[in-house]
Amino acid sequence: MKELTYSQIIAENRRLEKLAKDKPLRILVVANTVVENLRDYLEYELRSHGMHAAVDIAAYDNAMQESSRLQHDVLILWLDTWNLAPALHTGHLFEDPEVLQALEKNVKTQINTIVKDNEHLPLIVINTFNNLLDPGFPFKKSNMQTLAGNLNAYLYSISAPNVFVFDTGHILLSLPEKSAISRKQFYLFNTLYTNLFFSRYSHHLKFVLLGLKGKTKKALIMDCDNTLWSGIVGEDGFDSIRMGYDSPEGRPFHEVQQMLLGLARQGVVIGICSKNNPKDVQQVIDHHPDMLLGDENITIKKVNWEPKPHNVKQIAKELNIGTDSLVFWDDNEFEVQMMREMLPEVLSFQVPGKTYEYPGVFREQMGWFFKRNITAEDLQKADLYKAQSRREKEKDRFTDITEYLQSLSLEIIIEHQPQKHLGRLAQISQKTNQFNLSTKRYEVADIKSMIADEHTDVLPFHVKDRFGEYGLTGLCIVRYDASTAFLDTFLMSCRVLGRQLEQAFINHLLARLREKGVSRLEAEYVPTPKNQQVARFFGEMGFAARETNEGTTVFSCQVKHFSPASTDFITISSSNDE
Amino acid sequence: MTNKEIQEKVIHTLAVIFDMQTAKISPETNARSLARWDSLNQIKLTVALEEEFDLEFEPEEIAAMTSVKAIVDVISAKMNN
Repeated sequence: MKELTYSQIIAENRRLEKLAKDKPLRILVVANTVVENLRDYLEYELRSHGMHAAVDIAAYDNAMQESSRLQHDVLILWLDTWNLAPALHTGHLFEDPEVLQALEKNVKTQINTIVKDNEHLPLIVINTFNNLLDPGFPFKKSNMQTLAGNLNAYLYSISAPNVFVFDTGHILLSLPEKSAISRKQFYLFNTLYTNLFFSRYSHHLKFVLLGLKGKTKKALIMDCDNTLWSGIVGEDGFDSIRMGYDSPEGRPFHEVQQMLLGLARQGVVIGICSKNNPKDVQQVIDHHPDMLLGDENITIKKVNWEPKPHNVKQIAKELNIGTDSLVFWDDNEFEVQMMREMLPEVLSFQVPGKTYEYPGVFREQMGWFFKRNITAEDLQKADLYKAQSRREKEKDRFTDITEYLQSLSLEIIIEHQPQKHLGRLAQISQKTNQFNLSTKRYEVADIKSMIADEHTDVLPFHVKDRFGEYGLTGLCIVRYDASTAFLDTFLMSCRVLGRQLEQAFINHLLARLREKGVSRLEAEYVPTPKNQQVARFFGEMGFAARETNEGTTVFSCQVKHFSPASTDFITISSSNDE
Repeated sequence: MTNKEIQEKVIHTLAVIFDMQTAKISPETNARSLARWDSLNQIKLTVALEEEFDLEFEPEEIAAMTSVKAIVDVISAKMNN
């Protein structure tokens, strides 16, 4: 992928803006330095990855005034230490420790106010402070350095769940000083940062922002030879391949496998797709002393001589996730090119020819699996997907799908203590794309206030079958207004689709509404590029449909006239019953 | 690079930065007559030109770059040195 020049990025960004159809993510950058060029880089980075975004730059050096009760989705607070007070970096005024402390206190209060004023925002990103312009001496800290250090400690102590601290030192360390900052620009235009810095900043921030809209990746599909280990097992043999820490050829691969293990622990699905004899690969997995990944971490394996795009499609199907949730690594240029041609939605990377570059390049792309909060469910996700894969295989043996579903002993368990699962509920609300009728994205605070609201029922549910637990995979939110109920949210994780659970749940919901004396249920279908499969859901259950002008459809049903299709092979209970 | 070629490239870069048609930009186009040519766009413009022509401007050169003609003169002088 070649680098574009700044003019090309501006032109390309304008082109992408014209193509965008969905509502943009609105980002406001509040800065005390000139960061105008960031807009082009950040918008381009997001738009080129399929996420429409509109970046506004607030009036220069007016942090407090520009940050009160914002209407944006994301606030980026970009405060440079040198401009926290006039001519701070030249130092004289701040030789007096009392003046310096007063300034520190003032800045903390400003940040605290901004954070408190914007509790409703899904995300506030605050950059760390740095001591660029006055680095001090190796044996003596500059005042600026002390101030930046204290302020950073404060940033990391903020506990608001929507605040993310962006460590800009990460970028500064990864670039030579001259390509990250420009003193010329500073003296001419009051801005320190180069376009390369803005480009790196946007690269990293992208992962967090894509995560906000459920656009991160779910599975990592790895080739084996020269990707998991150095050498070719089918040619060089079991004893000649290298992936150990103690060999120079093996060490980069050891490091990559360590990172893969870490990702697997966070719930990222690890798969293998390799042109090899299955026996050779299995022998390495089972017996090679330096192989870190084992069958317990590798959820799915396609070791055969089929074209890789075919295998990768099959993997997506068996895991029941979209091919656009996959990342693919291979050392072979031909395979990578073929994947990019045939399945461009799969994010495909080639292992660098210089293998000492491999761990660094791999680490750069780990952000694709960024998760805002890791939940207990993520930690056992590898097991969940593995059970899923077993279930797919089991399917082959039944004459029809009903027979199969009956054999599963499916159970829905409605969670009666939703307040104990706030993190998970916000997560499924943000990440579920396919079976999601309204695709409303909620934060922890939203869920919390709906649980507290007496006119709203928050009904999460667990699903299990005889092979294991799928975990908390469904969420229904119902609002009541007199004798009418509104289905605000109804979503189910893709792991549990295709089992008529949605039908069973709606049957149960209607029975529940009848008991409550509700006479009418209304539900809204809001189409997105990903939720086509639920467009006809309510229609098929006999609800009456009414189109609105925004493309959404409002379905309604008289509770007493609802006649449920049978789903008696699914048991529904509540978590209190256990 | 001839002055004509430099001028074409400068006009093209300006057109991208200011989101205008190249036909609307002439050597006489200058910061005073064009509202979009403000100090924020001046940063963008100098950064973009440095990249397109692979050179680095000195502060006094940037200060002088207030019209298409002036920009072409600065670039041409640098390239012929």
